[in-house]
Amino acid sequence: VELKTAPADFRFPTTNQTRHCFTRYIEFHRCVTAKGEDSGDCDKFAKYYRSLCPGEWVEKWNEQRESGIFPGPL
Amino acid sequence: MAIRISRCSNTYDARNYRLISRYIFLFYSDFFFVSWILVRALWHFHYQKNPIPQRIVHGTTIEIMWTILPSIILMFIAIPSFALLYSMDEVVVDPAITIKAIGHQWYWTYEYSDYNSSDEQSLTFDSYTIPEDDPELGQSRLLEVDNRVVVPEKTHLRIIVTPADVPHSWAVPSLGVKCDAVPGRLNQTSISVQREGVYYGQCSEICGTNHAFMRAPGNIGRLLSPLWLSRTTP
Repeated sequence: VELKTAPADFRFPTTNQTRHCFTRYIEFHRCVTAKGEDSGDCDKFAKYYRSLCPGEWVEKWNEQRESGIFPGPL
Repeated sequence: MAIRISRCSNTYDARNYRLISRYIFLFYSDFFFVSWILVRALWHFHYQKNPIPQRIVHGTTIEIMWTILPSIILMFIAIPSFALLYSMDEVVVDPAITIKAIGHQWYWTYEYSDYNSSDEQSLTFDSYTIPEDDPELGQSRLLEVDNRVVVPEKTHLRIIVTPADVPHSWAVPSLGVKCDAVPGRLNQTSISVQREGVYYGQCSEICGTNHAFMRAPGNIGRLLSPLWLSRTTP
């Protein structure tokens, strides 16, 4: 069994990984907007943000996106 | 409002030890120097032996020296100290597993979501302390939890700690880990457990009435080979 998770990102070298999780989430959605939902290229970003971000945060952001009030550069 | 810099600490760090032992000579020599001056002053200013003490009031050169020299010494201490402080945060090897420890009042929720195929499917479970009346024979009082965190040994783990409500802190002293859980922030700490076993810890930030009964990691239990993952992967 190969163990794999979101790699250490040199853009976020410190203890605070909030921005890392947020950036991965945004990267995934920007990738989906650019390449379409069924493209396999975006799976990588999806895995990363799911590893890093708590489920509650992801749910909240999904709801915000659906209502159009997501506070990020999608 | 007080600003708190929340940190994760790993105490079992060989580099900390070398930094301290490098300066321990300075600490001791300082101590003996000060004690010697004190003894000399008490001896020479004794009221019978020396009833009219000579009072030295000025000494510009020496005063400048004993201001500048300690600042230089401090600078030499500070430079490796800062280098160590920032290098402690660096993660050199990519972690193999990410585990999220989410603090609630008054229990922890653990999420293992490295293998999700959608947003909903995480392996998530709550970890409550077993109340005083309930432990089975042989279990420690108020230390055990119902669902332990299970992790493989000798694997580089990334633990992300965050709370859902108020500040908590995830601490396992036997692994040298303490990481604050601050609302709205994800704190990362890296550990690699070298030995199988059960490790206990407790919540280290006051979080309400049952803070004392909140067992932080629950126990990082039973470290097994990576084969355990095959039972948890969906």
